[in-house]
Amino acid sequence: MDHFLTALPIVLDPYVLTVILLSGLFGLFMGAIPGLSATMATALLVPITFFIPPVPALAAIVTATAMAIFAGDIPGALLRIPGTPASAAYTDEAFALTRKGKAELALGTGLVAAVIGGMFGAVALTFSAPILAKVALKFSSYEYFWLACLGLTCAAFISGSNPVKGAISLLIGLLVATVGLDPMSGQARFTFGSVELMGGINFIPAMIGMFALAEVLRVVTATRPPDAVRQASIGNVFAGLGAIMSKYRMNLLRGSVIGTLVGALPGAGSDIAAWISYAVSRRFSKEPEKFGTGHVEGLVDAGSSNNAGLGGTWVPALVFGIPGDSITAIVIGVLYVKGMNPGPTVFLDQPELIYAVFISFFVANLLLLPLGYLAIKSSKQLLRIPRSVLMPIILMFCMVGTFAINNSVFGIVVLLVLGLVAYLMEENGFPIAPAILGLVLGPLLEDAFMTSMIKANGQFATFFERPISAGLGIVTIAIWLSPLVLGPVRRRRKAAAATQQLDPET
Amino acid sequence: MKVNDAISGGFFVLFAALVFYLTRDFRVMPGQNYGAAFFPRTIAGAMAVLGLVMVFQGVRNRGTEPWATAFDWIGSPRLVANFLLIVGILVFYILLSDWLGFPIAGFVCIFSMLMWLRGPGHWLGSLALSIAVVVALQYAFGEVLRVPLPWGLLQDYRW
Repeated sequence: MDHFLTALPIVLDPYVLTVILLSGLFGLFMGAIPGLSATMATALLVPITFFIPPVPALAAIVTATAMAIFAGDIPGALLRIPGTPASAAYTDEAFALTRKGKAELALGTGLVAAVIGGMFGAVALTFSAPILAKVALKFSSYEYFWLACLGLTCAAFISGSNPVKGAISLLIGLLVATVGLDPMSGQARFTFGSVELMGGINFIPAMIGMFALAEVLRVVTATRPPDAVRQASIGNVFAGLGAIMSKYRMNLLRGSVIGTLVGALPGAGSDIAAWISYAVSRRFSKEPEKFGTGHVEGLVDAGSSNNAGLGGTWVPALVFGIPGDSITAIVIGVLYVKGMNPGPTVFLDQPELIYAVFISFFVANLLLLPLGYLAIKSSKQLLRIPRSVLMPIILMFCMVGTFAINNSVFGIVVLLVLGLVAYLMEENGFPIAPAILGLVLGPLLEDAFMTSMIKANGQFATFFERPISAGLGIVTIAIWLSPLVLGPVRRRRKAAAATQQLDPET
Repeated sequence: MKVNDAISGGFFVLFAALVFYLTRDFRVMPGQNYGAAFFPRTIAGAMAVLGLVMVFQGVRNRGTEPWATAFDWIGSPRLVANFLLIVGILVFYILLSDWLGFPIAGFVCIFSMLMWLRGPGHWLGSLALSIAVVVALQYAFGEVLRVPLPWGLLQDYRW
């Protein structure tokens, strides 16, 4: 509580509040434009956060992502195109409401559910992170090694339809992270004589390339023109919401709890939280037949869930330095740049900074109500901005932002090369998020492994000697081996189902 | 371009082999079993194994997945030009921004993109927007954030 009170004036400073307001508007804009996601909003913010103190920098990311995840609902409801992946789960439901002429109901429900879910996630983060940090203080490099392995493994397995492709994407990221001077031996790795490469591949240009440039390329080569808004005008956004929220209060709670928990799982973020909550909502609804026809119940669950997930993803990121999704992977990079090495010790060394981050979650979610309302009201104008104007501006911003990191055009080379690589990867079904996680966590993983090995005189068995370390290690290895066991079982079941279909008599 | 998983899998196997080759003379720290080569080689090993898995998957699905399909925009000269324009703009900026300076190089980049993507009919709006964006970026990054954006040819006229 003391830390909370010392942190309060840090956030309520006019400068910080201005940054929060501006990044909120920026986040709403990015989320509301289809194709520009919360992750891209974070990626474009990073070059700026580079130059401002840690608290406003982190508050900017928190605010922009919270706003972007709600704003993704706007084109989802009006155009049936989710503005961010986190809104994809209930886009059809919201659009069905718009078709009935009730776009304001869909968006109002989404907004209020997002604010309540976001608040819940913020409370959960504020109370659970410091407690978990006390446990994490007992961890040594052995536990960190396994935690990093576990986080990366989950990321690879969850973030796509094909876990093999997720894993390869992760390995690409890890390999890119080894470029440069090896910190242990001073060996230059994969530098091909280039002085620029000796310093390693900075994750900021890499990430801007992989998320922003790849998206710009996709937009300018889109074969289908964007759709126009269907509903002519938006009525009273808050009409009748009181009754809906009190009728579905248990859904709000359930969505928020699921969102926070799923968000806290390494590798799973807000989008997965929304999918799960929507499915749970339908499964336990008293009126499941209404789902898909423009029913607000699923919107309440999933809308609160994806914003609650945002708070959840910061728990493993701050406590262990293990990101829950691609946004927190970027956050971890920013934390290192700011000298706040994520992990339990930051709760001892700089508690006021951590609590300032918690407070900015509350401020951001409160601010979401008025700003979200404005965004809904001006959505028609927002969605009318042509891509042919936006994409050149975004590309210019990427170039200058990348240059600003090291004051060298080498960053733009990294941006171009990795942007093209990411574009090809996505074309072929390889998810990008695991590569970014690999790039950020690669140095941590190698460092934890090497430190442990030096301590243990090269005895690998030491990784299983401490109880927590052994437990984490066994879980990780079990997940690695699970496809070997589950794959054949699933295939046999599928084959059995196929024969049954062919021969319904048996 | 979308290729069959067998081809991308094969690519990753070869790539892993290349990593092994490049790590052949990495130093080993005295008294340690694990040197600078250990981590890249472990990653490459895993990549080779997963690449083989993809080859098997791809061969198994060869009936349903073609060996290779071109980008769906390749049939439209306009979209091909859009793609090349974006890549070309970046290459142009990488090679010439130091010499031309940010105000000139940045203006050329954004103005040519806007003119091409929006069409010459909007030239006045594109011109105004390009100048606004370049001035705003120069001010925000060059002045407020103190990033030394190059002035290049305009070195003598800087503000």
